[in-house]
Amino acid sequence: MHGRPRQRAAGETSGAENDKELSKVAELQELIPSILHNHRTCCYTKEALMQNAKLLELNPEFYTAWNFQKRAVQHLLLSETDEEAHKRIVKEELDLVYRALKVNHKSYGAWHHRKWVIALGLSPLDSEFTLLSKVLKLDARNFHSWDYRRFAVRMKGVPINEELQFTTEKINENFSNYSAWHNRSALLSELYRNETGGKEIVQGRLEEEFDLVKNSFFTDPNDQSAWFYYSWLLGQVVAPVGPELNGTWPPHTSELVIECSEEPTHLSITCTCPLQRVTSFVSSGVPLLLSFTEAVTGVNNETVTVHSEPEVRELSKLSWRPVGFSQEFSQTWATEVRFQIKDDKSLLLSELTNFTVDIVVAVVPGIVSPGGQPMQGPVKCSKVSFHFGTTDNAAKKTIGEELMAKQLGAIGLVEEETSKGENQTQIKAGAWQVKILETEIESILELLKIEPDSKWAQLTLIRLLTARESFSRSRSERPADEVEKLQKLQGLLRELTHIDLPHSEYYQHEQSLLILREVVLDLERPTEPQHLSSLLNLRSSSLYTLGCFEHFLWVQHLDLSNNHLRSTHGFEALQLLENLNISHNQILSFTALAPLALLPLLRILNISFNEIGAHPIDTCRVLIPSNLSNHFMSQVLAGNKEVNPWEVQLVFQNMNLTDLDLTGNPVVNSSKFMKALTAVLPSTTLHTNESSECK
Amino acid sequence: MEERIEPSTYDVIVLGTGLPESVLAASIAACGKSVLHLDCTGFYGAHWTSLSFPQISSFASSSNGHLPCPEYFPHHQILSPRMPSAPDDSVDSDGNSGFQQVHGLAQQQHPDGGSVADPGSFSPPNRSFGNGALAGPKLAFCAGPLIDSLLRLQAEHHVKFTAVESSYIWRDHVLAAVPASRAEIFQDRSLSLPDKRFLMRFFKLVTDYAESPNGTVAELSTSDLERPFVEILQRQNLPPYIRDIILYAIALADQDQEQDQEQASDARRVLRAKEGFATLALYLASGSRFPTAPGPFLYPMYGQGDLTQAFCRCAAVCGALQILRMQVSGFLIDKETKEYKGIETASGQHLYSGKLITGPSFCLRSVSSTSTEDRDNGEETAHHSFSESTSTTTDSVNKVARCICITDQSLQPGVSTLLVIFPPRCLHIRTALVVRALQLGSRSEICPDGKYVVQLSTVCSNSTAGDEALQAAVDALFHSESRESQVTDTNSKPKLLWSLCYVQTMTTPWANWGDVGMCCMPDGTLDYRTIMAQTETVFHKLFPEQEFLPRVVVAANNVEDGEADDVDGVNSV
Repeated sequence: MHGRPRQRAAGETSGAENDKELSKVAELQELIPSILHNHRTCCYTKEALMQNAKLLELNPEFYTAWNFQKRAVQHLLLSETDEEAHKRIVKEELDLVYRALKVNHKSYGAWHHRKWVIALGLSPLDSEFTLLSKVLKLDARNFHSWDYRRFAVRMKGVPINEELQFTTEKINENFSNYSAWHNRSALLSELYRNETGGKEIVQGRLEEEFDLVKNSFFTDPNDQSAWFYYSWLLGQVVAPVGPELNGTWPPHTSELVIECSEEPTHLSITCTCPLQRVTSFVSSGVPLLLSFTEAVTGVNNETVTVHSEPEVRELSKLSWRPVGFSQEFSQTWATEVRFQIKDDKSLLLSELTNFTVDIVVAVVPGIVSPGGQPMQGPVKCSKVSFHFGTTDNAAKKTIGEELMAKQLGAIGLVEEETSKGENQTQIKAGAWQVKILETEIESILELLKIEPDSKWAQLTLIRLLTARESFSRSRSERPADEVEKLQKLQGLLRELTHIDLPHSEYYQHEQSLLILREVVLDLERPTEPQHLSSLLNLRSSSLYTLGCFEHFLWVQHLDLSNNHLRSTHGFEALQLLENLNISHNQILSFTALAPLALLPLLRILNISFNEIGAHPIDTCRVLIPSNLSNHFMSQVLAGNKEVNPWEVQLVFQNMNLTDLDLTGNPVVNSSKFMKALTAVLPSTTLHTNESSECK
Repeated sequence: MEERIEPSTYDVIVLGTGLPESVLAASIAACGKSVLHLDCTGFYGAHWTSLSFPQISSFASSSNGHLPCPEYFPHHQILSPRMPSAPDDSVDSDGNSGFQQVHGLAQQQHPDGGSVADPGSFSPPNRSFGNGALAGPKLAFCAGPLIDSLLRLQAEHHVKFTAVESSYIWRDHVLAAVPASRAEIFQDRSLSLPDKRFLMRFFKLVTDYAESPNGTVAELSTSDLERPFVEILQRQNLPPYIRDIILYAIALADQDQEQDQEQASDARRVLRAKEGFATLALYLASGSRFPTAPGPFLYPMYGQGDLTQAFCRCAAVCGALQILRMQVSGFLIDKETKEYKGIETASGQHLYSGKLITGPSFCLRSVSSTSTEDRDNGEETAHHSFSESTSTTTDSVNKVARCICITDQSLQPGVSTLLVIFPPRCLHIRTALVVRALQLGSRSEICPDGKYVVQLSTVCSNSTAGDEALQAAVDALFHSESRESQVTDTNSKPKLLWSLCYVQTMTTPWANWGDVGMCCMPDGTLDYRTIMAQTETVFHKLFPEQEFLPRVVVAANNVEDGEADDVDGVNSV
C-alpha cells in the first residue's frame, strides 16, 4: 500500500511457507537450463513453449523467458498463414500474460509482453480495458496498468475527454490516486497541443482544474498527490511555452576595444558595458555569448545572424558551440570572432575602422528545447560597437573616457526603449496569469489560517508569490519594494526549513536563488559614474548554490568563499571567469569542479578549506559524463606509469591554471593525488599550506 | 389435528419469533442447549416482520394492533392471539403489543391525476405487490452488532442484504448529501473549502478516539466525554448545518439536541459525547467494511422479516425445535418453590423447561385466587401475572409514530435505496421532532419495478405531534392529489400513491422473575444496537456463564445465497 513504510514480517517464513518456497526454487532450477537451451537453439516446439509458460507463471520477472516467448511467437506467426491461427496464437499469448499477471500484477516483463503482443494488431482491444479495470481495482495506483492504459487508449483512439472523465471517476473514488492525477496532466497536455483556441480555453480549463484540486487538499492537506498536480498546474500558468533568450555578452550597447596583446596570437579586449562596468582580458578571439532560459539546440549561423555595418569578413561563418558537456543542447552558447594578427603584432584588418555589430537571434524554427518547443518571444538583438585600439595607452584612455561620456548620455534613452517594449509584452501576457495567481494565493492563505503547519501549503504559497512577483515585475516598481518582497520570501523559506527539516536542503537552495536575485537587483541600480569592476563579491552570502548566470556573464573575478556550495554546476556559463575563490565551502571531491574545465580563461582557482579527499566520490549529486571508454582509459594509463586518479585527469587536464590553492583539504596528505596533480598541471603553482608553496 | 410435542423437556422455551427472541434462540442453541421455539402466528417475526399491504391495512385498522395470523390461510382470517391467562378469564383485549393505529383509513390516491377512477382502484395494493415492515425503518450498520452476530453464528447465508446507496439530510427544502467519508467530502460541492477541512479534521478526531487504547484523545478529556455531544460540536468551529449533519444524520440522535425547554430533564434525550463518538466511529468504520457496499448501512432483501427468519434458521441448524401456530395458554409453576417450571399449550400439553423467554406482547396475570391443581403431576397450573408486568417507561417520550408510503418515483433519480433525515425545525411546521425516512425500491425485492416503498418514523411524546411531523415530512417529499400542499414544482416530486400511519407506545420489558426473560419491542432508533444490547442482557441474565453468540462451525456450508457484499475475485478475462 502507498504511504506506509515497508515492514519485514517478524519471523518471516514459517515452516510450511519455507517448504513451498524451496519447492518453487527447485522447480525453477530444473526449468531454467532447458529454457536457456531452447532459446539458444531456437527450439520452439509445443513442449518448449509449455515449459516456458510454466517458468513464467512461477517467476514472471525472468525476462529472458519473455524474450524467448517473443521469438517463439514470431516463429509461429511466420509458420502459419491462416488468419484464424494467428488470432489463436495471439490469444494464447494474452492468456499467458494474464496468468503471469495474476502472480504479480506489477511485473514489468509481463506488461511489456502484452504491449508487444497487442501491438501486433491481431487482437481486440476491448478486453484490454476489462483487464485494466480489474487490475486497477486491486491497486488503483498501479502505474504499470496506467501506463498500459495510455498505450491502449492510443491504439484504440479513445477521445481525450472520455479518458479525462475516467480519471475524474477514479479521483472521486479516492483522491489520493497519484496516477490518476498524473494521467490527467498527460491528457490535458495533449489536449492543449491539439486545441487551437489559444490562451482563453487554456485559462478556463486551468481554472476548473485548480478548483478540482483544491477540494482535494482542503479535505486532506497531507496528501501529496494533489499538491504535485497543483504544482504542475502552476507550471502551466507560469512557465513560458518555450525557451527564451535571457542574456547576451557583450551586453547590448557595450563598446569593445580590441588590440593586440603581448602574447602572440592573442588579443587584448576591453569591454565597457552599460552601467560602466569594464571587463578586460586576453583571448584568442572576441567571445560572443548567448544565454537561454533552458537548454536548447539549433543555434547556428542560420538562426543567429551577426552582421555589421559595414560588413566584415571575420563575422561571417561563425561557428557556435554549446557550452557544456553535451554536444547538442546547452543553456549557454558561445562563439569567437577571430582577427588575424600580423607578424608585427598588429591587427590585420580589411579596414581599420570601427564598426557596429548587430547580433540578431531570430525566432525561426531552429532553436528548440529538448522537448521540441521553439524559441519564444520577439526577435532579440544586441548592438555592440567594436573599436580597434592602438598600442598607445594614452589614446586608449581617451577613447575610454570618450566612450563613457557618450554612454552616460545614451543610457537613459536605451533603457527607456527596451523597458517600454518589454513592459507591454509583459502586461499582455501577464493579465490572466496574474488573476489566477491572485485567486490561488487567497485560497492558500485561507488554508494556512486553518492549518498553519502544513508544509505543502507553505511551499506552494512561496511558489505562488514568486510566480506572481516575476509576472508583475515592471521597471517602474521601486527596487526597494522588490527587494522587500524577495526578503519576505526568504523569510518564508526559513520558516519552512524549520517546519520541514528533512527537505531543508531544497529550501536552502531556493533561498540561495532569492539571495542572488537580490544581488542582481543591487547591481542594476544606477550608481554614480565610476569605474565598476568585473568582480562579483558573494562572500559569506549563505549560498547553497549559484544561479542567475545570465546576469553574471561579465564576471571575471568571483569570490564565493565562506558559503555552502557543494558543486560548481552551471559555472560553465561564466566564460569570462579568470579568478575563482570557492574556499571554505563544502566541495567534497574534484568531480564537483568538472564544469570549471570548460572555462577557457580560468587562471586562478582557490579551493582551500573544502573537504576534497575526505569522502568517496559523490556520483549521485554531481553527474558528470566520465569518459571511461577503452580509448580514454588507455590514454590515461599510457600517460603515467602508475594509475592516475581519474578525476584529476578528467577535471584538470585541459585547464591552464597559474595558481591552485588546495590548503586545508585532506587530499593534500595523499602523495598519490599530489603527484597526479603535478603531472597534469605542470606549470601551475600548487599551494598546499598557508605559508609555503610547493611545486 | 394437534400432535404432542416430543420431547417435553427443554433447556429453554422461547415464545414468539420476534428478532430478539430469535437471536436468543439461535445463540442458546449454538451453546448446545435444547431450545423449543414457539409462535402463535403462522409466520416468523411477530412485530418485526414485513406484511403484505392488505395485511398492514388490516393490522392498522384493528383496534389494538393484533397481528394477523395465520397468514397463509386462504381466507385471510384474522384471529387474535390468545393471551396466556386463566382458561376461564377472558382475553385481555388490551394486548400489550402496544400498537395503536391513528389513521384508520389508508389514504386512497388516484394513480393518474385527473382521471376519475373509483375510489377503490388503487387501495390498498394487492397481495402480490410486495411487503412493508411494521417496525421500520431499521438499518443494520455494516460494522455493527447485528451483522457481527450473523457472521459469528454463520447465519449470513440465510439472508441477503442490499446496501443503502446514499443518505440525505433535509435542508432548505431540498435533499442535501451527507458527506461521511473522505471521498464524499471531496465530492460534495455544497461544502465550502474550509468546511471540508473542519469536517475532515473532526472525523480524524473520531477515528483517533476509536483507535485510542484508553478511550481518550488529545483534545478531549474524560470529563469532556460525559458532556453533551452537541456541546463538543459547538466547540469545534463547525457551522450549524454541519452540526446537524453530524448529530442527526451520522450520530443518529433520535431527538432534538439543542432545545433545552421542558425536555431538559429527559435523561435519555441528551446524547453524550461518548455515545456520539462511538456512533460516529461505527459509522465511519461501517462505510469501509465491505468494498461492494457504497455506504455504512444494509437492509435485508425481501423485507425486514427475512432477518428474523435467518436467526430462526440458524437456531434450527443448531438443533432448536420450532413450531408455528402453536398457542400457549398458561404457565406452570412449582407448587412449593413457586418457581417457573413450564408452559401449557392451547392443546393442553405440558412442556417443561429450565428457562423461559417471551416476546414483549405477553402479559402474565397475577395469581388469582382460583388455581387448579393437577394432582397427578403434583404441580400447579397457575397463571401468573405480575401487575405492572409491562410497565410503561418512566420516560415521557415513549411513542414512535410510523408511516408507510408507496410512491411512483425515486426521490433521487438513479438511486433505489436511500435514507433521508429531517433534523429538528427543518420542516415548515418547525417541529422539534426528528423524522427519518427510508426509501426502498425494487432492488430490495419488496415491490415491483417503478414503485417505491418509503418507511418513516419519529420518536415523540404524543401521537398528535408525531403524526403531524410525519405528515409534514410526507408533504415535503411527495406530492399528493388530495392535499393541496405548497405549490412547489410538483413535476419533480414523486407522487404519493398510498400511505398509512400508526403509533406505537413503547413499553419496557419486565425482568422480575429469575428464570424468565422478556424481550423488548421494536424501538425508535434507526439501527439495531439498542436491541442487540438488551438481548444480550437477557441472555446473560439467564445464562451468566455462557458466551453470547458463540462462533458456530457448520459442517456443511449451505451456500444458497451469498451475501451481497462478497468481494469478487479476479476472474479470467
